[in-house]
Amino acid sequence: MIKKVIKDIFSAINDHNREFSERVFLIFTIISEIVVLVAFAVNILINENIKELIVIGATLLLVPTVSITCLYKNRLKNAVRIIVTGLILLVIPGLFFFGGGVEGGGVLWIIFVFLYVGIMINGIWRAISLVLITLLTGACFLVQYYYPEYVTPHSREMFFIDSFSSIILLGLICFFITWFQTRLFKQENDRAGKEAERAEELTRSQNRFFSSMSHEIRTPINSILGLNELILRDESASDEIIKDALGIQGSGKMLLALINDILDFSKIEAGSMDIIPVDYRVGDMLSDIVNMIWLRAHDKGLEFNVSVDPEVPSVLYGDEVRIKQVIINLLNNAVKYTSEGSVELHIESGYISDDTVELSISVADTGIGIKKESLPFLFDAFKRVDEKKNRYIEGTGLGLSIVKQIVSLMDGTVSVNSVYGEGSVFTVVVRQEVSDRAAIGELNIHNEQTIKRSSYEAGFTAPEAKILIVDDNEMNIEVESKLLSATGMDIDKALSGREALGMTVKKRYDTILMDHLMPEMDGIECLEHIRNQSGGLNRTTPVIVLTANAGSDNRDLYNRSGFDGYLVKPVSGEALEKKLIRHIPSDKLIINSKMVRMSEDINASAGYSGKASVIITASSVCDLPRNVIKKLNIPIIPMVIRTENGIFKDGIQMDADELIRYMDNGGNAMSSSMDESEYTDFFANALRRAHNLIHISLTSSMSSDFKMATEAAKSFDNVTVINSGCLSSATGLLVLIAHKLAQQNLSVSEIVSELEGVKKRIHCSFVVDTTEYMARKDFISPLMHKVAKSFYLHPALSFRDDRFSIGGLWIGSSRRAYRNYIHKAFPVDIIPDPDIVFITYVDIPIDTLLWIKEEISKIAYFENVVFQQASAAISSNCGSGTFGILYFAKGNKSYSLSNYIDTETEVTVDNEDDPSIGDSPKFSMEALEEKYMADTVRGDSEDKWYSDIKGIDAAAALKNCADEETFKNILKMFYDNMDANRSALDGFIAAQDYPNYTIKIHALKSSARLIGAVELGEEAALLEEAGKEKNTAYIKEHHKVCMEHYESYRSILAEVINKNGLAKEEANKTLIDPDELKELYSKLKTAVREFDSVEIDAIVEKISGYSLPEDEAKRFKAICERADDYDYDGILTALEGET
Amino acid sequence: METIIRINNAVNGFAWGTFGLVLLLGTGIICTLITGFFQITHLGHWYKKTFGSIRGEGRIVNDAGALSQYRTFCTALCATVGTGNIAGVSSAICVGGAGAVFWMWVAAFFGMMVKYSENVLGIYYRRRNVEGAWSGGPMYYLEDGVGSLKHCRKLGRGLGVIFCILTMVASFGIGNMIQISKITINVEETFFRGVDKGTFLGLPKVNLTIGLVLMLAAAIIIFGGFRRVALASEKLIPFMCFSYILGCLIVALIHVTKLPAVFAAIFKFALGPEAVKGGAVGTAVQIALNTIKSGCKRGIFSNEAGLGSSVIVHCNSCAREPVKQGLWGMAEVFVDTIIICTMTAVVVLSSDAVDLKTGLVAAGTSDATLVARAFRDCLGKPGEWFVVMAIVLFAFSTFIGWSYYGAKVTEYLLGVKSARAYRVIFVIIIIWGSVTESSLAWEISDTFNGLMMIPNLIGVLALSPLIVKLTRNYIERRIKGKDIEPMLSFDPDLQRDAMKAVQKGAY
Repeated sequence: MIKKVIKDIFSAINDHNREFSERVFLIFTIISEIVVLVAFAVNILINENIKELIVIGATLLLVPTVSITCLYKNRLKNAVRIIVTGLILLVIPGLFFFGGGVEGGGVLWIIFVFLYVGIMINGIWRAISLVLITLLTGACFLVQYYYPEYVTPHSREMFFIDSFSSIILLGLICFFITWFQTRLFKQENDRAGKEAERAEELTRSQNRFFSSMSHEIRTPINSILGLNELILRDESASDEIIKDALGIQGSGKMLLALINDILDFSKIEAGSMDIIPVDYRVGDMLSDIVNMIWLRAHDKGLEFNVSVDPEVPSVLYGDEVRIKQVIINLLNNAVKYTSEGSVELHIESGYISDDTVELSISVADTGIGIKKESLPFLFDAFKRVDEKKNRYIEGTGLGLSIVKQIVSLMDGTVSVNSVYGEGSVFTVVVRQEVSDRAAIGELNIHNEQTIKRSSYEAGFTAPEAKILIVDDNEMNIEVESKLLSATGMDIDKALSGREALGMTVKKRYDTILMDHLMPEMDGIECLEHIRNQSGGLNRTTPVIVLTANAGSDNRDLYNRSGFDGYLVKPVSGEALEKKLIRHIPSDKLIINSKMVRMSEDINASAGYSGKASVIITASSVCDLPRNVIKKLNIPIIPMVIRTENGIFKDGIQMDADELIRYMDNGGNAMSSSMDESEYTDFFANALRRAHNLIHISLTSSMSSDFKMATEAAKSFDNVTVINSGCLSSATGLLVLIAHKLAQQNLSVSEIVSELEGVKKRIHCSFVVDTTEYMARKDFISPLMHKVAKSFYLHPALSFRDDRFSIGGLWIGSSRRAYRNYIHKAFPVDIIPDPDIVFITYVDIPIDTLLWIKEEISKIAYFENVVFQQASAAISSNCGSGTFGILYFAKGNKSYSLSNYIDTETEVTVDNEDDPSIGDSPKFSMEALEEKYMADTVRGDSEDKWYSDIKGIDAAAALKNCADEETFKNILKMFYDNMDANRSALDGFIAAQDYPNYTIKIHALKSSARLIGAVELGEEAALLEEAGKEKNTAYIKEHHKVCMEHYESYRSILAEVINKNGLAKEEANKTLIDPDELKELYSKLKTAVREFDSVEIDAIVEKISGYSLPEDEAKRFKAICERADDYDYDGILTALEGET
Repeated sequence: METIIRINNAVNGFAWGTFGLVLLLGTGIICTLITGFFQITHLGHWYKKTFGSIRGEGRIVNDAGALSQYRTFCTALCATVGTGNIAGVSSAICVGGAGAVFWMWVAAFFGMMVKYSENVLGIYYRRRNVEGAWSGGPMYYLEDGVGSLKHCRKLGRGLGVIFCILTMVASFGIGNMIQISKITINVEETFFRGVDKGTFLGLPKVNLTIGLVLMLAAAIIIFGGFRRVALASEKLIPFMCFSYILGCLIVALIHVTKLPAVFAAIFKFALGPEAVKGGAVGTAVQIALNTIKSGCKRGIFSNEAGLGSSVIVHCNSCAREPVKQGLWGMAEVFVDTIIICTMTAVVVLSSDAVDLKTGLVAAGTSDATLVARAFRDCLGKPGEWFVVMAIVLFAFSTFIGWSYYGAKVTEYLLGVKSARAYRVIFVIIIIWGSVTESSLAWEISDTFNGLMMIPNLIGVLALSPLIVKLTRNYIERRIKGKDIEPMLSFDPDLQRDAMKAVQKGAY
């Protein structure tokens, strides 16, 4: 019986199926039972207090009883709880008070209870028990301290024996419990390890099985396909059979693809997929890929575009097979999930070191896209995203997983951007070693698919066009003329350069196609001859070189040699047509509109446009001058302004001015950011231009911009959102800095970390004239508003660490508050970057602005002070009279942002300036700057040709023209136009046509200023002013003086121009043949009579290509002037003089 | 408590005693050797670029937020020129005799190069803080310089933090309360002797009033930001130095007949007074050593070279060339020790306190009042007042200087916001300094001040190859006129910026 119980207990302890805690409990109980038994014996031996003996005895009996009962009833927890309660409430106080208190063994058993509670109980019970036992211990000790009489005393001898035995026993308990528990843990661990190993082994064997299975299956499929191929080639087979066989072929290939996927997958899982690098030609690889995908895309009616960076090295060292597999997998997917639109393959590369490039391959489609919730699982095996919607699309769901695995085997990355419903872009970036640094050049992937020619139709017809093909190989000529036969063009053929030259004197061609390598005279030589042929009719005819030499070197050579185009042989009809379409005069072309998107030869670099690495985006509230945004090409997402009259987009549909007017009339407006989908679209759009995008959002304390952008960014792997923590132009400053960094080709993480640093330096605060708008917006309570209004309080808002706070509150007039604010805006010890400061304002009169600038300049020096009208969104929040001083403290780096702003001087000659610029007047420290410019120009360029031109302020001119070359050209233009302008102005005066006069004098003013003829510009400006005011008297009086002044520049400029070789071109021209001139004049005459302006221009241009004898030059000049004025009779009279 | 005092005394003796002396002097000799006796070989250049440029280049500010070189120099002098230049010199003479002055010069000669090295490193490793102002000093060259050496990243940062903690603690004691207390005591002794205006909250009203006045003055200057501190220094320092020198010269002029004897005594007794040397060889050496030690101590400690404190100020200069600011550092030592201390020494020696014939100090001379007595003997009561005023100014300027050191190290430890809080505390604590007298806290701060040299000198010695490189680079370019790439900053961005400025003609 006892034996059985013991056996039971031991088997229970070792039973792995039992719960761990149960087993620990058993061990604990047994060990403590034995030990307590010993203690009991000891206590009897030393004649312990009978009450204590009873307590111990009861414990000894009750614990096993409770344990066993509960164990059999499977209520282990109850047992533990009962025991613990019993221990705490009965046993411990009993042992303590009857066993001598502190001077006894009982007290030591408290430790046992602590141990018991710690090991055996969980959850709230553990906490309660712990507290209880601690309290109890305290109580026991306190009682004994204050009321020693309640404790049964021990003799010294008993105390020693009792405590000694207790310590030993307790120690033994601790020892055994720890030992057993460690043993149990170890056993469990071993078991878990074994389990894991078993599971792994199972997977491995499964994989092995899969892989061998797949292999086994492949063999029969291959034979099925092979045999099927035989049937397909069997010409005697009936159509029925061929149809069935085609079916077999299709299904068989699909099956094969599936098996291959599984095979790859199991290989990867088993870790036996190796990357085997070899040298491979990128061009060949791409052409294989394109040929494979193109037909599929074409069959589905999709456009397939390939664009390849011409700088990609031609031979790389890497695992060609796997890279190919990755691209094909992605392209297949793209085609599969796209029902209409296009699929695009885009490849580019950048050198990382001398012999390594980073190859970035992106596949974009216009397919169904991926939900952003699904993005994280996209690359998981066996998981197909959106199962329900895609149930008709075949596939195992392994493709992307394989891509991911292969790419990571190659230490590359793969990322996805996707807009649900609109398409996805997969980008794979891998590093490859370079074997041949020669660039791949303009890659021409010839499509080898046999497209039924019957479906072919020429892209255009041009029966009137004449073209000449020059090639020493008759075959080639034949092929090319065949290819073009459908266009109906008149095609002449020449077998050598010499022959061609003979033909070019006889006939005027629209285009010449020229072979490069020919015996005797090669294409380049021939071209030269054609261009300079005396009496040749094709000096200006476009000549396209046809060559078998690809590569960017050659391309350069051809460009330099003066060819108008370049085609790689063997050339397809489509490529020829595409090229010719550009060169044949459009009036001779009849374009077949239906066929513009026909099957095409893929010129991989034609569509190539380098993507930027990073671009910066922001919302319209970043308050940057519009022309800066335009110049830097920063994508801007507008905010939305809701008014009672409708919803408007900030800056696009509604301007700040309008809004202020509207609000001043009592209207209410709310601004908010666009919703998430708009952001998603916005990002997707912007990402077409770059690989990565950083969106700089407004502070989250005032706008949902950050939230929306972050939400939307989840759809993209390469969109980073930075919370600027501030508003308005302060965010704009950050945008400018980010843009600068992006231009320095820093990586996204570098830019982000630097911006995080700069963010801390940005100082953003506003002073608000009236709290009315803020009250309307519920930013402050109506009561506060009332108080503020009655005390003329002007609060300042400051933004820091993404929070806004009241940065000051001033009583009194606006001016006073403004001044206080300005002082407050530059705290002591802050050193602003002198580069730039924005004063962003809402509806503040210009004189106040100038006053503000003045006040600022007393405190801090800035090279550029930019006044920027706040966007409508800001205006709606703060109302008129608000302005902010926004700048950043100087850091280790200077960003020279002023470069972005500086060019905003008035370079525009005519009234073409963007009217929007008018919105953002900018008063840079012009006077100072000009002085500085003048100083520097004078200082370091004493010997420059322009330094000493009379009447011309070269410094100012240079500033306008950006560089010397432009200045030179503009001077020349100014000089050349003098006659025409002069006569026009005089004419208008004579005709008393003042409106036109004003326009003309305005032009003169602009151009005079442009070349730095300041005084002349001033005079012209006064005249213009008078013209506008219809002050004819003034004009009459001053016109002459002005014109004399104008005239004085003629000699000055003539000298400058002659001296500086601006007139050199004249000398290079060949003297015209008198006969030819005569012929041209007669042609001109005919043209004039027929009012054929195009022809007139052509002839004039032709003549101006020669140098003319003295008298003819004069006449020709007259003709030119009149031609410009469309004065046909005048031309005739001029010509008359000759005959 | 006893233990703390004992430990403090031991460490204090260690830092300000022979050990510190040897360490600093050794570093000075090393710096002199590695730069090839720069202070002699380029004496002319040094003079031209510092004192010679005060009217021109030294006043130009061509860097946003930086101070002109001259103003930086004045601000640095602020903390350096202190009461040690008056009382310290007289006690050195009391201990070591006239010969001590000679050793003071020798020590200053080497100390110049320590300061030079500190400044060169300081400028090279400075950077802009979040507010856009320059931040530099030992903590930065420890972190970025020593930290960039192999396996030293944590060490560098750790040493920087230690330096800052030492400086911060020292700033409250030696930089604040001790100076304030000196002012209070001196003013009270001289002008309010025996006057009892009663007490307020148990504190003497006179002291409180002086404290409040000082607090007001300090608040006006310190709360105006570092630029106002610098401005105030620029106004204060020349006035203070010149008037003190003038005073000393008047005294010297009155004793003009004695002057040859004074200088003769300085050299003659360089190895201790002859008269007492009679006995054993050991005693003679002992006495000579005593003179050398007391002289060197003054020469080293009065100008703070090696403590790494004034470099914190020097880093605010608009100078782009590290070496240029190094030259100003040498000038600082020169003004402090060679000029001002010598002036004091001349005054003391020409009085009757020291027998110029025997080199013995007159019996019963108390060192603390030696200078005041010398002035009083010549000029009567006004002479004494003059000395007190000098002490007040010297102490106050030290106080102003330390406010800047403290704020900068706080910035390094806890950020710019805490630096603002620090300034407030620094000003408030003045009142405490004015009403209490010497306490253990002061002793500890004094010890900490001495200990600052340890992390700093580790930095200077560890980076000595860089000092050599920077010096050579400067000499090659600026003196020999070679066209090589300048070395101006450790940070590529700052280097680029500084190069641009240098190409435009900045120094």
